[in-house]
Amino acid sequence: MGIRGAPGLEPAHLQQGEQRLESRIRRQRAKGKYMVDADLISRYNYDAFTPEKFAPWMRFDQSPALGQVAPDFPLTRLDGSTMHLKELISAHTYTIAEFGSFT
Amino acid sequence: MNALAARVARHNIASIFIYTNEAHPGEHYGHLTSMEQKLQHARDLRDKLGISRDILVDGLDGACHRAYGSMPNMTWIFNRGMLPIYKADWTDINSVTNSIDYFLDVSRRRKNRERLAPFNVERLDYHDQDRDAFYKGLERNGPKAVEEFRNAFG
Repeated sequence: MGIRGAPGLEPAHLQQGEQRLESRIRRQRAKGKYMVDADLISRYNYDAFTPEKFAPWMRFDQSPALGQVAPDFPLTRLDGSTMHLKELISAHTYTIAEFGSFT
Repeated sequence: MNALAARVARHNIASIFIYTNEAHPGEHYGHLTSMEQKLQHARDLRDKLGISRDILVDGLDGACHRAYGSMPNMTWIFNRGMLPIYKADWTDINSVTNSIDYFLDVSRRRKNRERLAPFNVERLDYHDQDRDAFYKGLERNGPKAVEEFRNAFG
């Protein structure tokens, strides 16, 4: 699987990175380690900015407390390789993490 | 935020951008349906908006984003022990700068062998509210994004 809209146009190492990620997810799914909830994915990636679609996700009041160990998650670099948030955070005195998107 | 990241990098401070769901999907940048699409949107963010910090993409199910409260443009600061020491439900450069400078001073005081103990503080910060600039940004996503925001907030 290549990049949407431009298969074959990305540098080979990017395509290989994505292929490795997808293959890893397939292996984890086969072991039952990576359960994909299609309904959750669809609701989280809402298709319209309407209060009934975006408001239920805004739960800052339930987010991790200051001063208590925060949860770790795998994240994907732009070259398709993966890393854990904790790897980065534990290697730096402080880490500033901004969350956002193109839109 | 890019300039702040560059200024504090020499103090072993990492600055990252975690790519989430699309807050205002439109005709040009629609809602996400695949990880390939999410990676492409993240690359566009880097290339078109000039994000020079490392961009890390959350899973398609938003596991990381959801665990941290799912706000569309929030900022967190962590110490090396994976402890959040600052969290803001909106990203404001003045607020983040003020906080990271404070934490750098904490590091300096610790190096000077001052004995310090953490305590909790709550504060209400203020960000610029430039509605015209915000709508200009929404136009980049397409007319649908503009109309939906106008319907939701006027």
